Amino acid sequence: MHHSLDLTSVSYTYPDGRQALHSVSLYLAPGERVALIGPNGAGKSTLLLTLNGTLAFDGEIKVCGLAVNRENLPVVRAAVGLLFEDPDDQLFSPTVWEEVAFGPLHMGWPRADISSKVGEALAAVGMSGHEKRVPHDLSQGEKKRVAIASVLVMDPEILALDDPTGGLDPRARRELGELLTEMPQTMLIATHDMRLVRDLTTRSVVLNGGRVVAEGLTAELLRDRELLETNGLEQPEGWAD
Amino acid sequence: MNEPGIDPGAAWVATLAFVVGVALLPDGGWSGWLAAYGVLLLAALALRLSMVRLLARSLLALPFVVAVAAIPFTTPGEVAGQLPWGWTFSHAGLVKAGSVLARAWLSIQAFVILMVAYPLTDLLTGLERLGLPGLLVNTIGFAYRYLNLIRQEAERMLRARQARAAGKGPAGGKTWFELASTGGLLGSLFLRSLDRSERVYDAMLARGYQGNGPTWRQLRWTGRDLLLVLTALGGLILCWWQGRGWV
Amino acid sequence: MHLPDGFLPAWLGALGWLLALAGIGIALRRSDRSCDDRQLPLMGVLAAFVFAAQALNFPIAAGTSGHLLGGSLLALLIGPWAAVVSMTAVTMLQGLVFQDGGLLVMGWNILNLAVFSCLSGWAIAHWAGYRSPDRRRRLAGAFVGAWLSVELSAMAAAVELAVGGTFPLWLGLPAMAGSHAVIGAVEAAITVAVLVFLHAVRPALVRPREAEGRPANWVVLGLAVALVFASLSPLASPLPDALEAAALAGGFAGRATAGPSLGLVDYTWPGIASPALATLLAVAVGTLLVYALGTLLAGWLGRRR
Repeated sequence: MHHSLDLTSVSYTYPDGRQALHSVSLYLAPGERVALIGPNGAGKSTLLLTLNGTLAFDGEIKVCGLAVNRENLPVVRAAVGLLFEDPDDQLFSPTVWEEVAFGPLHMGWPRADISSKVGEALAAVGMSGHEKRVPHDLSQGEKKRVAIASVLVMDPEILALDDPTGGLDPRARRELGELLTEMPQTMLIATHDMRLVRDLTTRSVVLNGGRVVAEGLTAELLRDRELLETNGLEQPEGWAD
Repeated sequence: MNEPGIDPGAAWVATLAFVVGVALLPDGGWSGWLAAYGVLLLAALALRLSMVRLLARSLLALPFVVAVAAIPFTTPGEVAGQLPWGWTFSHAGLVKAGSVLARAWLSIQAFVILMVAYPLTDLLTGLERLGLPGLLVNTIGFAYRYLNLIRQEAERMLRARQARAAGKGPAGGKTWFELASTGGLLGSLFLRSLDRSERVYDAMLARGYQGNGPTWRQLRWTGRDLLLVLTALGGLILCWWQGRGWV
Repeated sequence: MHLPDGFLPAWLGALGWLLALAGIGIALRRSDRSCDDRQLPLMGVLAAFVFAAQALNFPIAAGTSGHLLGGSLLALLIGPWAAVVSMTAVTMLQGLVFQDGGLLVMGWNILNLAVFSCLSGWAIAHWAGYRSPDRRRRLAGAFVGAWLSVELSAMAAAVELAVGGTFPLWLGLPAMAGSHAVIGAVEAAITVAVLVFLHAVRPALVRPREAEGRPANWVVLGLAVALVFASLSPLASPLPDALEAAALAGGFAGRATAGPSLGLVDYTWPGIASPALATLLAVAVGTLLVYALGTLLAGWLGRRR
């Protein structure tokens, strides 16, 4: 039950009436890494935002066995670490240290604990020593890593990542991919980066127009060229039949 | 940058006391202001700051000197001289203009020392500990964080627009084109900033934000801080007496 | 328009801080009440937006370019109180980071650039037509509000300088009002241009908001505040200016420079003996003139459409 993610018939309609998600059902077993792929506008980001209750959805979501509703929000938000698409939206504090400490501070942790946890989180992403730096001066790759640290510091059980390698140069992409590979959490990764999908995930879910159109082992899905292209995706090299 | 070792809140109080003291010295109190500058030099030395750097930064703020030039012509007093076209200026006016300059410059220097000695976030924390409302301090913090980002967005948009404005001179209806496109540019920038603030809010929620947050709100002054503040206040009182003619 | 330190005496600076903190306190409480806590990132990020907008030159027409102050625009878009908080953040940051404006006088800078500009811009815009369902009347109201908010801020600075004894009113008021007439026009033009764009792209933003109080109240409130500080000024320094005392003692008073004036040289009305009363009257008249002008203009322009 722990570290699992269970979505049942999740739907979401925007305030202006557009329906973004149509009855999406999904299950992630503990420790599983699943890719969420699909064209732009498919609803991937929207789906991730429902996981921690940012968007009010219809249907049911269970995070580690706990239903996502108003009462459980604080616990859910600690359990689900959400990484946003644009790190500049996520790094809103004046310094790296304050950014990583934001979550623990608002959770009311004792001061001594916070300092050590922040240090651990930064070390985990290879950003130790950068505590006093200003977000604006960081490179895209560094921003992503600090954002991950700011999420990791809360000891989440599930990570929901929105386009983690977007905007990164090849080396930063590789480093981030390696970092993610070493992390034990259950992961749902919305991405266009097919190489990351191939290297990191065991299962993939194809989302298009707010609906799940295909689901299965990554290895199998990536071989289906027609499926990929119908859904606005590209087959990574070396996977053609 | 070295750690000053003094609580930023205490530094604020000392700086404010300095600025007020300098303002309380009467017009023409040159010796007082010279002493004040000596105090600043001592502070800069104690904090191991480069005087050259401080001077350079304070010069940036000097354009107001132009305004000061009008003072000798508008202050009543014994006439000291006359310009070729008849305007007269007074002794009192010259003294006053010099005094305004001295006060302004000393204040700027003190401010610069504060800004160079501490990172802005420490200064904001200091202000909050002194009692400035948390919401305001946090707003300033956000503004500081997103300053450069939004300015860069604006510059990019301006450059993109300029790249497309092939023709130079306005021809007929084109006069309003520039205004309309500026409206669009600023409007777009506003919308992007607005949307960004929504996403930032979502990011804050995702990390447990539940309304105005806790911060390190404790006023903890060491003996050293207290000594500095008391000395500054003492200096302030001295200046006040000097201004009243009691010293 | 940022006043540096040295241009106002200590007591006036302190008064400015008291008034500014009061204004900020009211603004914080009211903006907190009007929306949930998404206000915090909203006011902060938009403060950064205003900062960027103020720093850059924007093309206006025929090769000219100008700056935006942004107080009235922000007030119309997010409400006057939230705008006051944002603009306060901008002003304080400008002082802190760029030494643009002094520390002692920062209270008055905040009042001029954040409180007066946002509140008067908002109030006058609403008075002059921003509440009307007709889009052109709304834009006209915004135009007047923006222009006058700049003028009023500038004139307030002139009054503060006069009360502080740095620049006489006969010089400061026309100088500030005159120089800011063009700046105000640019502000108004850009404000309207932005509103036109936003109306096309996201009309919900530009729809007139539910008032947090009738505009008339704010104009009257502002007037009352101005008169209060005007009345305090002669009482705060009962002793004659040190210089003037020296001048009188040395018998130089008779050789004072004469300059152009509106009959208000050195704050004295001919025929009124008490200097305190005369100062009060001069400053009060100046303040009233400013507000009367603003109100008349707003009402006239509103009725024209």
